[in-house]
Amino acid sequence: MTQPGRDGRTDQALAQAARAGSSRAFDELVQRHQAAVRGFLRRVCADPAEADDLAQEAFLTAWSKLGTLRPDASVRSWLCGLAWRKALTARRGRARSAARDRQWLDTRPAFDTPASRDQLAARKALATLPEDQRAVVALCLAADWSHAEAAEALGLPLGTVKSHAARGRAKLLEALGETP
Amino acid sequence: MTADDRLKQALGLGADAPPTTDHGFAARIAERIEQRRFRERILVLGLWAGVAAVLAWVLARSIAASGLEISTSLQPAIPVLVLVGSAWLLSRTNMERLLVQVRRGLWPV
Repeated sequence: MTQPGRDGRTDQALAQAARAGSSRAFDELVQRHQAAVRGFLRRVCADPAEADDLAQEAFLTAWSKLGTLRPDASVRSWLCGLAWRKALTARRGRARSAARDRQWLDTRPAFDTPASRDQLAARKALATLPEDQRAVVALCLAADWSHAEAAEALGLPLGTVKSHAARGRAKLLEALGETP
Repeated sequence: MTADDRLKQALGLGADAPPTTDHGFAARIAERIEQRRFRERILVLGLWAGVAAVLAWVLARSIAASGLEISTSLQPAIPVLVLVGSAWLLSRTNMERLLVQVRRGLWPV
């Protein structure tokens, strides 16, 4: 977000104030972006509690690394990039994470409506996608990010993001029984 | 409804979506940042205390080695020096903030 928020300051102005030691400015940044970061992590991690823990860690890392934020960078992309790296580190440390995610999805209470069936099918399919592809799908297809913004956040080439988005879309549509 | 609309709807978080404003989440992060600040401050103060101890030790040895009998002549000035030093330190410290940080470090909410 480069537009001014509730207090009239842009993200970059808030980041600059936070870098100078303003806790209030950093708190405002957390309030502005927590939903985007947590939503992204909830899609790629499946377990909401783990996603929120990782989001907290990502914001703490952001606070200690405010000096590395480029003046022309999108704060939202930067934060989601940090969150994504936290998620990757956490997942790579646990070999059984994918199996656990699928188990967690299976134990969720199922409401037998077409929408809930679609949601469950999409989440199961999302959990089987390769990590980078899942992150691209979570940002571009679920949260309406542009390919360029997702590329910036995930540190991937633009072409790779576009192909991940296309392949991810095809696999998810297939899981929903639609023709890609 | 097109296939993409259906996919978009299926990718929604529904009840798992985080709230747009979450003061509890922001407060937890603020608390952890304050704890980290406190730990960093203690670390810096500890380092400075170590440096000061080494300097004092070196100074004491050099004074002892010089063989000068200055301890008796300096004795009346020591309380004055301690008071001046303490006043200078206090004038540079935000005591209220320091006490709040000590409390948060010892008893985090």
